[in-house]
Amino acid sequence: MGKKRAVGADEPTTTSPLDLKTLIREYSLFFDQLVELIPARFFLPNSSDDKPWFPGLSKSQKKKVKAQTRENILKSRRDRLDPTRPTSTLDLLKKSLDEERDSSSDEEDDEDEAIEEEEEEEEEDEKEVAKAQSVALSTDERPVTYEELRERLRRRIVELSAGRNTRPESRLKQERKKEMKNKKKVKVQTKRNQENNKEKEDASAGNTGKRKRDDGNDENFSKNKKKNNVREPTDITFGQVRIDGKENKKRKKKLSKEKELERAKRLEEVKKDPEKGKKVSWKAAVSKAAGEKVHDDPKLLKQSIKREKKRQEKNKQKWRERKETVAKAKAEKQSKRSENIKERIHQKKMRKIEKREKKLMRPGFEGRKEA
Amino acid sequence: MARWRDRRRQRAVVKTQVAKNKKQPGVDQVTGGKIPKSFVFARGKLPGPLKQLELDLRKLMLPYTALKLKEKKRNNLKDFLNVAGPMGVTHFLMISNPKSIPYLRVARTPQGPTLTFQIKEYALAADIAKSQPKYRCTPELFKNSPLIVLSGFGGGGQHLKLTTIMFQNIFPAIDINSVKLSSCQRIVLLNYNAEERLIDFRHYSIRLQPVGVSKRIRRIVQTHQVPDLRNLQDVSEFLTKAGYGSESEGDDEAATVSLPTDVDRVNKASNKSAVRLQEIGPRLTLRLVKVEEGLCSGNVIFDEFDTSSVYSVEKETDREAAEDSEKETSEDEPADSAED
Repeated sequence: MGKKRAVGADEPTTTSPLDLKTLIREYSLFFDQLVELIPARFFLPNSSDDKPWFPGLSKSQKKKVKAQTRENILKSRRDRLDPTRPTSTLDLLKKSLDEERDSSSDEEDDEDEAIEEEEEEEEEDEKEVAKAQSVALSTDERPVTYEELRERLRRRIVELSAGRNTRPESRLKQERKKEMKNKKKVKVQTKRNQENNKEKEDASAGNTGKRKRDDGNDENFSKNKKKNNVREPTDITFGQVRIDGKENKKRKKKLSKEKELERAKRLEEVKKDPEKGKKVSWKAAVSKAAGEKVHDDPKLLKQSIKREKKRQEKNKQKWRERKETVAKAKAEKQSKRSENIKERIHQKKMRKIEKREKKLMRPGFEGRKEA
Repeated sequence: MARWRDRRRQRAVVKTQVAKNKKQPGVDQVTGGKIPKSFVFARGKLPGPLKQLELDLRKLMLPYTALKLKEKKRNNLKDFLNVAGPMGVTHFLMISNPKSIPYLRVARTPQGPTLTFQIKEYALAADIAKSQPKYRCTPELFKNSPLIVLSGFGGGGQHLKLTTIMFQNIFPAIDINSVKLSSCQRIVLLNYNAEERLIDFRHYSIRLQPVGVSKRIRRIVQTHQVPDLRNLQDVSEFLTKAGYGSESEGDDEAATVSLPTDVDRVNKASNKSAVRLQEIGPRLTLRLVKVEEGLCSGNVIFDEFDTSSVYSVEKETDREAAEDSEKETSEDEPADSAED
């Protein structure tokens, strides 16, 4: 009862224009809220896409349509998450109503519609909450600084590319070769020293395709931090890298051990000589460090020759023994065989004699000749 | 009884712990080359910090080293050599402390050259860990060999060239076409300072971070943990708040790479990723003092301090200044500074 009275109390008895306006406004707000609750998909009339009919299409047409649907999905996803576009049902409704109004007025002019749509959108953007505005502002700020940085980078690249051929020629060929090799996949090493990194980055940016290499570690690590001495290090070497599947270096001809021994002895003589000897020993040390086997110690070579000789001797001995045993076994078998054959013949003869004698050996036989 | 006696008589007790049921490959399947393995051990008695340094170096050389190498007092170099042969160990790293000066010797096993470095300064991995607010060092980092980069070594001198080759061959080669980017997780940097003739040795871990993705989103993707939305009004706030690339975007352009393949969940192919290095492991400052032809034996072909030896640096420069015929190296730069 009380409730009813309260409801009744809300309705004014005399409808003054101000009250009417507020009333209408309240009702309209209420309806707007209801409309917002309904997803736009169900509420708005589906006029844009005529119901697509897929089964009757040819293969190429189906492909096209599929691509189109994929694009539509992506587009709708992007639009859904775009904070500047209208997402609520109410806004979409308003937009569609405005569109209808415009289309009914000027039907031919598509451009005008587009412009009007943009205007509508702009107006809607203006209606948006401060949040969107703040986001827009912040996004506006960032491109500016990015642009600035990019411009600087470009200028720097141009500068350095102009003067690139005037690099100092002190770099060794080897390093240059290595750099060419390592173009493909090298990871960037950095420290947070903006200026240096950027400089060197630009310097090597031209050299590499995909990857950017950075030379700027050294200054940060050296103990003496002379800022005015910041030179661009031009020599960086990396660990061992294999690019092709199998890089066959030229196989050095393998000399026989005696020849190697002679060569080693000669090298020893050369080593005594200071100049050439130094060269020879450095060369040997470098190739040893790289893993190649260098045979230049006559003592070891002699040992190895001796070992080989012993091995050969042993093998010879083994072969001789084997031959002996084989021959012996063969002879044994042969003799056994011939023995067996003889036995057999002998046995045969004996059997025959037996048979003959059996007839004459019966008891009481007197006709036997021998005694 | 007999067995006990045998153990007493055994001279070389060099135990190496190999992981159970896992034999380390001798030849790299991909590149076809031999994988270099190393032993890190001490010669003589070492003080505490140096022992720690030895352990740090061992960790650095993983996985192709003997982590739990046990050396006894009576082990000679010969014992190590005997064990190294059948196991395919190619390099020895020896730390010694004669007259309280720490030295590091890097040698190639069978007959190879020995480089002797004097350790001028060093910092242990534990010290570095304490000095960093966020120290990240997982055992997974040590499942693959580190990369190595040398800089400043091209200047001059056969000894520098030898040093580069030596260090390049300590770590196995990588095949560009088939290496997995996610397996390159550590890097060793060597920098040669020509003025002071010192080599800086640093060890870093590599981390890739996608550029242009906010920290929160990245964290959700990497660790599937539900974020805390207590103080937010709306999910969009979570995504758009502080939605800039990263706080430290300063070195953005310089440090980014575009990856050729997917590395892990967040770093995808053809996307820009920033490379972040964090220091782990020991820090060394070395000076090359001696190069010998054999394994701690043989001729000394380079000697830093000895001016009377024929192969010293100063004499080399004198000869070269006089002759000016050898095209190999230009020792003038470091020698000039040395003469100064």
